[in-house]
Amino acid sequence: MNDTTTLAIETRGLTKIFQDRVVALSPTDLVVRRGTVFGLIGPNGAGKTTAFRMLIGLQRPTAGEARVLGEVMTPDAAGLRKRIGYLPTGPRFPPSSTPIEYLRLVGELSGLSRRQADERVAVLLRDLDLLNAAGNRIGSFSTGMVTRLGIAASLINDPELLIWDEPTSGLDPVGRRQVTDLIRFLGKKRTVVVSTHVLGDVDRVCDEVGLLYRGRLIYSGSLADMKRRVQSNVVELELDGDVERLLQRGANWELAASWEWNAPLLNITLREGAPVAATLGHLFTMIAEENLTLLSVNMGSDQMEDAFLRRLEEDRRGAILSDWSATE
Amino acid sequence: MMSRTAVRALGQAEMTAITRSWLVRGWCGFAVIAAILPMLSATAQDDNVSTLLGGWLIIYFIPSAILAAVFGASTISQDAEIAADSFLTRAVTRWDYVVAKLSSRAAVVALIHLCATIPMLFLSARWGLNDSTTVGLLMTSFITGMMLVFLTAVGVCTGAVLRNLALAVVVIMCAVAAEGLIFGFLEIKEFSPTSVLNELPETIRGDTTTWQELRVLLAFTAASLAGAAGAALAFQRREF
Repeated sequence: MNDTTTLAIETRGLTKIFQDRVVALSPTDLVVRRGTVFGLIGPNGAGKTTAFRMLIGLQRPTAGEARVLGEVMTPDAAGLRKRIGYLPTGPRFPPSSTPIEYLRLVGELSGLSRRQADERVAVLLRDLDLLNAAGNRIGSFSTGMVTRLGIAASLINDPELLIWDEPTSGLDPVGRRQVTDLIRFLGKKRTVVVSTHVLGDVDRVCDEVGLLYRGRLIYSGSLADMKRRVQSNVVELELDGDVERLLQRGANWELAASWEWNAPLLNITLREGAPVAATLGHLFTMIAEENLTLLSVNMGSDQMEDAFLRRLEEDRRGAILSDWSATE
Repeated sequence: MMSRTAVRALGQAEMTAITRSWLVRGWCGFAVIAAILPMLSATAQDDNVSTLLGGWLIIYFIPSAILAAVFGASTISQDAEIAADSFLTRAVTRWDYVVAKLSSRAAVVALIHLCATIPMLFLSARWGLNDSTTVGLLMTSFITGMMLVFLTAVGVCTGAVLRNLALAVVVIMCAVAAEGLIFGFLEIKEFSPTSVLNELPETIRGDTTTWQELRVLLAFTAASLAGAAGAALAFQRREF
């Protein structure tokens, strides 16, 4: 199979400089394979939205090109955009229209007949919990409702590629969970590219990630691989009760390298090569014997954040080193 | 390059949005008042209809020109983010968007103008001291209407370049005033709104030739098309 059939997105040297003053995106080679859920992560101002806007043809690259579904994206590539569902960050829609009017229009623009568009509108309004607001003007919508409307608009013609910029921003926890569940569901049949700075969302839904920092793509690959790089052997336990005796027993425990008590959290660093399952089993037995209440166990829920921060730190050091070597 | 389906769908949506616009509702109200007053005044005055209507049309034209400029300029300068998020990320080219916006706005401007001026001109002529001709009255309505369409097109073009609506309107007014002075000075009166307005009484009386009137119409049609092309080019270059 060639790249056209296997790749949903391929950028070569994609660069954006605004008004000869701001480098929003340094030359970027990004590859997203078809059928994956790809997360573009990075802090605010990293260049995620700029990259997405070039991928959908709202902005022209200063240099390089973006191929989407095998074709070069430009502002005039209307036919190509028919195959893409795009959700902008903080979307703005015609405030005097109702969701039905707007979605019907988007449906017609996407090549659906009036009848087909109306059928899709009814389904999407129900699925995205907008039925009660179907007759209201969009201008009266909350941020969360506008985001859900944007999601509905991006799905109107069942596109093969979804590009969603910050789909969970402005949503309450329930809304966020619904959207991440939806991404997981949609990702079974199509390619989904999402950007976010909420790492938990990426952890829940993405197969692959790209990490943008200050306009540079500093990592691109599988999420599992990114996590593996920072895999730690620290167990964090939240305990209730008198832990003094447990700490005394722990001091002589050969499987742990260190114990650190910072009420109510106990951080235990396991020795290299210690069998994790057996060690945890032993640990839980000790906790039960000391009549302590175990409130939570955490073995790497912050892995994603750690991986993210570590990669940023590596990049920062790398940049400094390269700056130095250039000076010398 | 352009999709008829997209232009039609966007044009229909724009028409719906326009009917909800307070600017257009206010404009319709103004046009109704502006149409009734000369009719009433025609019955009470001793002036000939051509002189009376020539004066009234100038009074009617100046606020209408400002409204047309605002109406045109606001379409892109104020809606740019909505255009980007709602339409340009779909199967729509920038040409589709500008053509749909401009044609629907120009149509609305022409419709409001014709609905107001044709009854105004013909009823005033009937009730006053009539020295007008039917062709003269029709041409007067068409010429002033075409000038408003021209201002709308220039408005859309300026709105595509400038993001600030107030600044865009000021620029349009200054540009049109300067254009009137320059073409008036060069005696190319077809392109000078001031000269055309001053000659309206003659047009109403039928003292101008059909060729002179057609030249004015063609001049403003060409200028409107140039404005439309400028709007499309400016919008094509714009980044969102």
